[in-house]
Amino acid sequence: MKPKAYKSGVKPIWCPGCGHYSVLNAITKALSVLDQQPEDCVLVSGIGCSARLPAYANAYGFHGVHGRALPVATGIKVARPKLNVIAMGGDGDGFSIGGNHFLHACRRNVDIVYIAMDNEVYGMTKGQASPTTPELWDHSKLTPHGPEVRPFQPCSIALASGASFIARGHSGDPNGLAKMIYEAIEHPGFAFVHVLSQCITYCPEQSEWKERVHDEEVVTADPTEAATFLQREDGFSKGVFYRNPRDVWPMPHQPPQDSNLRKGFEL
Amino acid sequence: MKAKPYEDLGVFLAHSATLEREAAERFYELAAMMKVHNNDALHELFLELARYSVEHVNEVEDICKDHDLPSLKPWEYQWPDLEAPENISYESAHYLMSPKEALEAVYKVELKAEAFYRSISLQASDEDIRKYAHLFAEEEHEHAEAAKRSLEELKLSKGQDEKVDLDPPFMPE
Repeated sequence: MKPKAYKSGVKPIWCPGCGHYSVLNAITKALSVLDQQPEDCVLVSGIGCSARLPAYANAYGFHGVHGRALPVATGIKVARPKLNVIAMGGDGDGFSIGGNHFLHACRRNVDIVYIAMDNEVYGMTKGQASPTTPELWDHSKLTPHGPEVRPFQPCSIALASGASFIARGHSGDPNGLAKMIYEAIEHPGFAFVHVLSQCITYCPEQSEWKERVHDEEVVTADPTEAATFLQREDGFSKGVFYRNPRDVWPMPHQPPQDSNLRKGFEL
Repeated sequence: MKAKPYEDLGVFLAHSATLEREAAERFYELAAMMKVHNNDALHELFLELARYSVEHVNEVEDICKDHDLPSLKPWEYQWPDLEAPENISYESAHYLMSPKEALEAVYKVELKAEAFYRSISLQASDEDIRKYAHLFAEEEHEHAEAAKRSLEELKLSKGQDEKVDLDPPFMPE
């Protein structure tokens, strides 16, 4: 199927200039390369601008509760392991109210993809500071001096929490992002794709991200090397940083056989 | 390593078909987003451009049907930049985008598409690649000239670039 066939007839209501259009294109391109049947794929989201994405795709979709995309996605994957489950959301949804779910999804290593579309702002509620907003971003009247809090570091925290695939893409590069999402889907285990997806309505300065983003193909299986890199980089590196497949949850277990209890109660 | 568009006719035509198809899809996307945000002037403009682009998609696909085209993954295309050259980048759009800014963006991508085809027509040794690349470069040149003429006409009329935001984005705390 062509990428366009993975788009639904629903027209996005995102602002013109929003990076999420590009993420939608990248997802449809990745699904097209995989020749995925729409009924074999589920897109799960929480709440926020980015969480509207499943409505715009021709696949199963679940527009869930704020911050709860990952538990819903985990449940779907565990119940229906053959489905390709892609969870998604924004920085507010995923790293604030959904922050705890993020840590444990990384740790649990269920075979799902999580795409976090990070624009460093709560867009849907008219532009407040989010967990990834820069310390001195003073555009919102609610934080006139900026949030004055260090921004959350999604990739470092994913690594520390046990994610087995960590990558960062940019909405200005939909073809590169499509490749990253394709690799994330192919990766066995929890694959985290952090996407710098600009919101030019509330953060017009993000239109300059295209000049700041740079390729940094690290691809290490060594967590120490990955951690060192992530502590040093400027937040605008793009590439697959860490890939280290490990056992996927839930583990396969044989049911107990011929137990004394069973023998005792057998008719 | 895949052959370069100027080395293989199939690879060249695959690039041409994707370039035209993505341009048409992007114009339709831009038209739809402008409609949602009540920018009717740009909705009409992008819709018109999308319709022209579809004609070019049909033209290229008509040529392609007589040739074997390789199946390329999106990241295997060898574009001069991150996207196909005729795509207006998402971040250059805005709900307050004016006709002047839109036409400037169109002019820019048409020039990029022309340069892409021109470069192939100069580098190719295959006669068919040279012929088609030259033909497509000339077509893109015509589009760029049309956008330039529209821009000049726009400069003669007043008030085309005024921006009034009746619903500013930030909450009025």
